[in-house]
Amino acid sequence: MEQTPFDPAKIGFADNPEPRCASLLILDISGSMSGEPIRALQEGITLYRDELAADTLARKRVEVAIVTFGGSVDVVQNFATAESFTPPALATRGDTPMGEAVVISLKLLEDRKAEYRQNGIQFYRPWVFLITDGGPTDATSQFWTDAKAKILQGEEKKNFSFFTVGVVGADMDRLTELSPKRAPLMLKGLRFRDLFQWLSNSQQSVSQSLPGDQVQLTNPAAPNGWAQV
Amino acid sequence: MWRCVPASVIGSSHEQNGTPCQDACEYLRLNTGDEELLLVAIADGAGSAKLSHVGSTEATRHLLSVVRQAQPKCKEVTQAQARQWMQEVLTQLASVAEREGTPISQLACTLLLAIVSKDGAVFVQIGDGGWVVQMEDGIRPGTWPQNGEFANITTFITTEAALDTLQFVRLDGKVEGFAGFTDGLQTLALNFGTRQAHVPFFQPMFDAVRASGDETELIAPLQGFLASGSVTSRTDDDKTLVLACWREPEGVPHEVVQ
Repeated sequence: MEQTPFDPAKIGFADNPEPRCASLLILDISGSMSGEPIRALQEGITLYRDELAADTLARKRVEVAIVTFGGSVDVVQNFATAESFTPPALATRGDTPMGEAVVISLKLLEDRKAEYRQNGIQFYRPWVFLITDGGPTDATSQFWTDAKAKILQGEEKKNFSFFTVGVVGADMDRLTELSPKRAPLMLKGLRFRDLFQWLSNSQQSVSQSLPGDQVQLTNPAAPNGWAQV
Repeated sequence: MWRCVPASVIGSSHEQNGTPCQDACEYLRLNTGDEELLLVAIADGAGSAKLSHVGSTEATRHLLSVVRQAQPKCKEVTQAQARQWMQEVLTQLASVAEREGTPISQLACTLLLAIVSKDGAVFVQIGDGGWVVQMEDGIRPGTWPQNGEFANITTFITTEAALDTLQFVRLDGKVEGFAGFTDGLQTLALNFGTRQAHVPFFQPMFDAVRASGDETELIAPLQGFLASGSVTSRTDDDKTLVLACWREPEGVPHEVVQ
């Protein structure tokens, strides 16, 4: 075989980190989620991880963090790719400090973005998903005020896309108040699996997208979608 | 004289979905009497813009035509002039858009320009991709990819206020070679953590051009490299790489460097 002057074996390729798609899940694990709801949510997250792990690009690029709120606010999973995280076991307890959860979560996200920038890692617009079956028990606190302000600022500057999802029983008015720029979605029943399937499909598309591509997301509220109209 | 090896190759993602190659590149040698210049233009059409392959071809062609008419002197080119040339390309794209009955956004592309003499270089660009230069002290970036905030966003020449984002870099000193590329190659050829050119990528490239007898014989092998499994396994985007080396004319006394 003729020797090529441009032999890939002799040419060095730079080893750059993969661009990242940060996916931040803020999950209500308050008492009311006990039983079927928390079981279905748990299953949904496992499906989500498995779907991402099965996609060659998404498993290196999508980084998932999970913050739960129920009584207290806990970072149960810091940003990690699907290859390297095990869905945490979720147990329900306590009330619903939603405002505090949002503030802590968005700080976690900002810290991660700062790390990306420091290390020259490119990233896609981060996704934030807040899932709740109730209303905030800290709505009179500074946390709630700060949460609203930070979400508004983030959406206006296009720093992230903040989705709120209500499960049966959720206070949809509070969710609208929290994130007015994006209408809250109500989950059909406990179809967390469908929600997370949609999320992983969407993020797989984003992971492959190149500048100038339009990533078409299927409408969650379409007839076969996971959200009620 | 300047030896130039240009190559644009379609990426596997476009091959699969039937989109044409949206990258374009062109060069010309310009002898102004004072100096021998190499002009190179490169463009990368926006993925979802239906006619961006037309946009990128028109943009590179028209840009070189406009620059050639200006008969520039490398040391005297100004940022304002470069901006004006880009504006003229935009005007041309607008008229092509009208002819095609389509909004100008369907012709969106990034656009890169190099005007290089053996004593200095001017690099200009809107959007991502970049220029790397080989001077006496080594191989380093000329411009840097401008990606906007997110990995899948860049500025196209048709983007609002794109001309305000113009990168303009002038380097003075002996230029031994330079290379231009679109974003399909940037993660293979640049180190983003350190903001440096990846020397093991460019050194063998420049060496190959320098060592060749007839550099036009390198075009097919360079295309082959860009289409090779080692490259396509790392990026499925369209790829452009233009390599250029200065060679002292025969018969002119020069130092023999071993």
